[in-house]
Amino acid sequence: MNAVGDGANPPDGRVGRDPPVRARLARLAGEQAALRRVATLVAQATPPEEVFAAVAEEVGQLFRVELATLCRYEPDRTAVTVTTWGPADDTLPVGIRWPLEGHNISTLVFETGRPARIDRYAGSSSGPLSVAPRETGIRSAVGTPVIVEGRLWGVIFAGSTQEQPLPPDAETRLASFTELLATAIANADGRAALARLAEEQAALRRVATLVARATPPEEVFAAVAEEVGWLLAVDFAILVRYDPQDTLEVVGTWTRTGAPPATPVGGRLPLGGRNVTTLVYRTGRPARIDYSDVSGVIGQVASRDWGLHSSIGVPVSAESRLWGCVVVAFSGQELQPLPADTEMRLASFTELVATAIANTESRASLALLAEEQAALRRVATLVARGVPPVEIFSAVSDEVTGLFGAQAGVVRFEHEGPAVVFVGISKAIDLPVGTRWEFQPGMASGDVYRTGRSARVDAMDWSSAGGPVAGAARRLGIVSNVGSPIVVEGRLWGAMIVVSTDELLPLGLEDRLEKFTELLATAIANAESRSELAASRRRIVTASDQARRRIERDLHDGTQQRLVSLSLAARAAQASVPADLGDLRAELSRIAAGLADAVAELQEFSRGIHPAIISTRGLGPALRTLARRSPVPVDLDVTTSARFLEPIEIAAYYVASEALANAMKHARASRIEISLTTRRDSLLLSIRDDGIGGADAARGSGLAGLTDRVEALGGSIDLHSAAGAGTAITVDLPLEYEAAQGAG
Amino acid sequence: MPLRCMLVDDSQAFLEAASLLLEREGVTVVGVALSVAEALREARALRPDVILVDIGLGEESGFDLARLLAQDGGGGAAVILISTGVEADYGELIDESPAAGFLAKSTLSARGISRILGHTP
Repeated sequence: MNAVGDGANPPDGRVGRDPPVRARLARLAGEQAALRRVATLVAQATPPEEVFAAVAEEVGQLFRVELATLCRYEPDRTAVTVTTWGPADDTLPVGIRWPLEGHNISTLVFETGRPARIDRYAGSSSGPLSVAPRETGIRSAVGTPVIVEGRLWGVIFAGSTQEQPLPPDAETRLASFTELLATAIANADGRAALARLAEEQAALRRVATLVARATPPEEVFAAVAEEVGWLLAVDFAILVRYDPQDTLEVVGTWTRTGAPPATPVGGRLPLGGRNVTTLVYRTGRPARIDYSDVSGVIGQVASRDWGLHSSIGVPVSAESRLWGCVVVAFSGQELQPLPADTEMRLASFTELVATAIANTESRASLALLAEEQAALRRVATLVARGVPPVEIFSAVSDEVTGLFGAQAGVVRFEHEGPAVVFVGISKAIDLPVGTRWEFQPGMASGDVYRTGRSARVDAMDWSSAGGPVAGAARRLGIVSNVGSPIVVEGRLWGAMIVVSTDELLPLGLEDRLEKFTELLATAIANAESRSELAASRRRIVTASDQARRRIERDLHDGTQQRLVSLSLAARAAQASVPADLGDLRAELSRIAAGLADAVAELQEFSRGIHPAIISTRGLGPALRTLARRSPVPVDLDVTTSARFLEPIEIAAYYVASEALANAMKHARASRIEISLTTRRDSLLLSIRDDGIGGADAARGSGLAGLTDRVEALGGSIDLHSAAGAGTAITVDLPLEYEAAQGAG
Repeated sequence: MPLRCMLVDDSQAFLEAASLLLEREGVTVVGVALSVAEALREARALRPDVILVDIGLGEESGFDLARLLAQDGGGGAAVILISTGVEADYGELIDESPAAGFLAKSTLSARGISRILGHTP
């Protein structure tokens, strides 16, 4: 029986003995073995070049040809020899690119996409690719296409120097090898593609991690430039941001050589001309350019300083706004253009950059918002506490400086001038509070004054202007200023001013200042009401004092005088009564004494209404009088002989008088100490006794009324009276106050 | 010999009542004045033994007049300060004054004057 059946011949012993069949069987076996060897290499993911070489050799051996070559087709109608096998394989060097022209196997296969053969090679072949085979002595040749995933990838060429042309089934038999090759190439491509994808994913992940970690944008930009540069295997990667006024700023760079970039981070260039970044800026779409044809400042810098030869730019959009551009570029004389999918691969990176920017901007906005809220809260607290406006003005100036990084001040408008007066200035500006400037062009406050609305002046040139404002502006280096109006109860009172040494103050600053100016307006309105209230209280006290003084005067000049005169007249009458009318004399004496008592009582009463002695001699003597008249010994310590405003002296006198009266009536004291002294802006009076204490302000209603009087004058009164520990009253009166002169 | 006395006060009513009383009590009231200037004039002209000076001479001060009189404006007359109030009201001002003493107006008497001047009654 047959040892082997090949399907083509009936299995019988005769086949095995038939020489042509045996030869064919052997050949088949050889082919299978060769195919198996190559298949194994492919399955082992052997690098394609090795597979190519193996195939060429197997084909050469198997087909007993003198030359076996594998060529790859290139897009520009050229072919590149990838591998050669043959006795004289140094005549067809590998890697050279040959145009596909003329009548030769590679060109035929390229044009038809099908196997081809040339049986009389020497005579009928032509074209550059035929030269070497002819020189090698090839007489017949076949070639089959290598088709990888439906695309004509290249060609296997087998050439024989024999007279006999290659067997007719050579193309078919080559086909199995080309299929294996195609698989190897597809696998290799697939692996390469996978590897590239994996690299890309890894790079994206690294950048995404930075973004998620809220890494500062500058670091993200630098990382993106580097990842993109390595990934796309370019020479340069540059990330730029588009700035107002048609400029770009370089925000991230990477160079393959590691050399410092020709335009460092922070460098600014004007857009314009024909170059990648300007194209992207104008169109908002990716663009690519080769640098033989660039113009504009950027074009010159790119080609001259950077040495770019070709580049691609892809836009970066953040929050639907064109933010900037990623540029990748080659230098040198690479003829190879950047791959077609570069724009697409850059897209994922530009999205990450956009996310980083958006995150950073939101975080920054949130942080700024939080800081702003905190600053507003601090100012509102000061306002609620009724802190004097002058402190609030400087507090707000400093808060605004802290928030916006620019110096600030608060000005009040004066209508004579018209002019501004600084009522608050942040610390770094060395202008004194109270500085007055008449309006000059370039002052945003002037526009606020005229329009009642916010105003700004950016990039003002003060160099040729004269006057104190220009001088100060030059000295402080001020270039821009913004003013925001302060409106108090419908009235334009002044403005909050922010100044900067930069050309541009942030847009939207006016809106953010609004909350501060509202607080200022409240503080001013509060202070104005409080001061009106205080003034009206003082007016009431003063009016009442004046009324009392009039009463006292009238009593003195009228009733007292009359009583004195009556008393004297009674005694005069008594003196002229004869001695023997003793009863009459005695009666007249009694009348006189009664009248004298009445005078004394009236005097006492009068002192309670108004201590005339204050007007004539002052507080010191008045206290001395009180001390002398006190039945309880008084130690008086008066360290000032100055005179003070009458309402102050009167208030102090009444408190001392009431305190003494209380001490006498309730305290059972043996000793009283009174001290009067001045300290800074205050008059300090204290009355201390060593009595039983336990007094409280409510009980002695005289003190309650005096508290009103003292507070109406802007002072304060304090009572300490622990049981058994004596009583101490201290009064603090301001020496000066804005006297509402002329009252009413 | 009766004491020759001058009265200085800004109240006419008082001057009349006091003059009447003092006369009745044996003091000769040689003159009166209602102001510092008048007092100095009259004192020089009349050369009294004692001048009673009201502390509160309207806008003017009796203490000032007392000092002026002591500087030989009064020709050597003793000065006694008088007032509607009591001595305690003025304390050291009276002590520091060149006046010989103080009398309350409503208890003014010839005896009081004598006592201050050191004349035994």
